[in-house]
Order: sequence, then structure tokens, then C-alpha cells
Amino acid sequence: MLNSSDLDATSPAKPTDYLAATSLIWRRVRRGVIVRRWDRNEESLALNPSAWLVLETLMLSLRPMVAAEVADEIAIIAGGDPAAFGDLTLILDDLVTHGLAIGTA
Amino acid sequence: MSAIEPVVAHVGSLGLGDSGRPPFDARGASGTVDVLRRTKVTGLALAALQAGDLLLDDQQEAELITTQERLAALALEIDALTLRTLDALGGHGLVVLKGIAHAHLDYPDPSWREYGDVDLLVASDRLAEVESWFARLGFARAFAPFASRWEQRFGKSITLKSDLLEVDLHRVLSQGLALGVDASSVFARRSSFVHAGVEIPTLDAPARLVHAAIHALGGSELPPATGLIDIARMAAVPARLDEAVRLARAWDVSKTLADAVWLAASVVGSAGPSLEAAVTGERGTANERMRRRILGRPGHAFRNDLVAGFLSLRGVRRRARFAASLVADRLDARPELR
Repeated sequence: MLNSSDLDATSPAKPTDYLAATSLIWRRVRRGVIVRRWDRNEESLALNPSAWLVLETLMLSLRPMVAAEVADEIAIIAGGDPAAFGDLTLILDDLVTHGLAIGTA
Repeated sequence: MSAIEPVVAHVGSLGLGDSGRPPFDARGASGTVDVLRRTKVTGLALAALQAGDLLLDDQQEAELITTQERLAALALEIDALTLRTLDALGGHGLVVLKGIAHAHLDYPDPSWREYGDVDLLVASDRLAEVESWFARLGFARAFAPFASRWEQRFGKSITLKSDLLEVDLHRVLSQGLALGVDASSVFARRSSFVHAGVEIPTLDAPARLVHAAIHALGGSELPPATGLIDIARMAAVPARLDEAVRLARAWDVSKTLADAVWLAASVVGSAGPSLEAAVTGERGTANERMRRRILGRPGHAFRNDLVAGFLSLRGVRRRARFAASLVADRLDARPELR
């Protein structure tokens, strides 16, 4: 039987801090941005404007950011109330899953 | 020379002193997006569309959006290949030419400039190494060497192809096969910028403009629209144009630059009175005028390039080497002639 400490040891920890990958290259398209990493042999991904805004915010930061900080930065760049953006964790985790961002616990 | 399509000229001049001009109405015109795709200006067209400077119907707009996404993805593939190459090999003895450099340095947004291949100027002592790097990635020569000994000394470039992409390894900046600008004077104009963590060696702005002119007027056909648009944009900066004129004189291509700038201005749009002052009266040397005459003949073929290449060489010794290496290669290919 697994106990909680076993789970902690074997499951990947959920990231709390996020940083953009440094090898990102991108082009603007009408529906958002297509982006990929040059150091991986993978196809480009299409990001909608919201996902791109999150990734671009990470790219402009020199240090890892938590989701709430990303929301604050977006509010400064794009205007609006950070609380209205909701939880950005889902988008951030998706960016990590696709290798566009790096998440650390 | 056939004329450039009006819609291409219109979107090509986007942002070049065009404020207040009426939009180009292409609604209902069949084949418009196909023309924009073939001339690689869908990114500019999309920007013009978003600025209200180009009018398309719904079907054309949907087609343009899809086409530009495809070409943008191709540009990213080319960028990725270039960055991987520079990361693996280092930038020493390499210069990234044309599309990638113009996109990132000469346009407000790289999405405005499309391209279909990697162009690298490679110092002679790195050529074999760079070619074998691309061979390991699955690239092979698109054409057998015309004449191997001759090519090593006088050849212009090597074209490599994979299933999806094309790479041109340039030995020299040249006009047809003529005028190999001395490599050391080209590498002296090296500059660089950092993209996605990788330092990209390229030419400085005046040298990019002169090279674009050399490339544009290397044959008898109308240059690609992207080349003329590059020239029109770069020549719009007076200080840069002045320095490019000085460099073009040193490289013996001053008439080429003057003609290319005039052609770009007449096709894409004028860059203003400073352009006229900078390039008026550039007659070029007798050698340059000879090259231009031969290379500009309608339907000119490879043999015209060879003749222009031979005649453009200065000094009996260099011409003798050119001819001797060509003859030796031909004899190797046909031993019965020995």
C-alpha cells in the first residue's frame, strides 16, 4: 500500500513558479501566435492571444513568477483587474506540458 | 522583365510614407491570395489587412489567414535550423544572409518578411565542415558540381536540400558567377544580433543593402518582390543609403546599387528626395557595366554567367586559372579528349 510520502516521492510536484524557455521563436498570425523551441525537433504550436499574453509576460520577466504575479503583470500591460483573469495556473501548466515554459515547485 | 502585381507593390510599400493613401480593394479578384503566396508577402498583406490598407472579401481573408500561418510555420522551421546550426558550429566564418537577417532587422515585425530557405555565407576553410553538418541532418546537394576544381576556386554557392528545406551555402557574394566580392572585405562588415539566446552573425545594415542589390540584379529577370521590398525599406534611411553607396563603390557595384534602388523605388515606392541625391550619377566602372550588360541579356543562361565571370576577373593570371581549372575539369569528365 502506498502512503502519502511515497506519492510525494514518485509523483511530479506541481509547479508553482514559471519561467519561459529561452529558446522560443515565434511569428504573429491572425489567430494569435505560432511558436516553437529551436532546440527541439517539434512542430510549431498555435497559441490564442490569451495564452500568448501569458507566455509573453513570462518571457519579459528575468525571474520565475507565480501565477498571481503573472496576472498582476498582465494587468499592468493590458489593463484590467488581475482578479478578473481567474486562475492562470491551467494555462501556465499547459505551457509547461508543451515545453514552452519551465515550471518549478 | 514582367511587372510586379499591383497588390504586391501596394502591400510591399506598407508603412513607407503611405499614410492617408486609399486602401487597395482586391475584393472578388480571383487569384489574389495565390499571388501573395507565390511572392511571399502574405505577412505584409495580413498587416495591411489589419491596418485597413487592403480590402479582401471573407473567402479571400480566410484563405490569406491559413496561407500566412503555413508560411509563418515554414519561416520558424528555417529559423530553428539556422539557430541549431549556429549553436552547434559557432558563428566564426559564417554570415547569415537575406531572409532571416532582413526579417529580424529591417522590418517592424519579422512576420512581415517571409522566406523559403537558409542562406549562409561560409568562409572557405569551413565549407566542408558546414556541408557535412547539413549532410548529417539529411541534406544533400541539389546539383552535381558543374566542375569540381573550378567550383572550389570560382564557384558561387552550393545548394543543399532535404525533404522539406533548402540551404544555400555561399562562397562569395556574387553577381551571377561574376564579381566575387573579396571575402575578407565582406567579413569585415560582419555584425550580429541575439535571437532566442543565439548570436546570429550577419552583415551590417549598409552591407545588407548592397548585397540585396547585388542579388536583385544578378540576372535578367525581375527580382523577387521580397528583394525589392527589402531594398526599398533599407534605402529609406538616408544615412544608411549614403554609407551603402560608399561601400558599393569599394565593392565595384555602385551602378548595381543605384539601379536596384531606383527599381525598388519605382516598383514598391519612393523613399524620398535623399534617395535621388544619393544614387544619381553612379555610372559604375567599365568592368561593372560589362557584367551588367551580359547578365542583363534577356534569357541569359549559365554560359553567360561563365563569360561574365571570366571577363570580370582582373589580371591575366586569374583569368588563366579560371580557364585552366575549367578545362581540366572537362578533361577529367571526358578522358577520351586527353
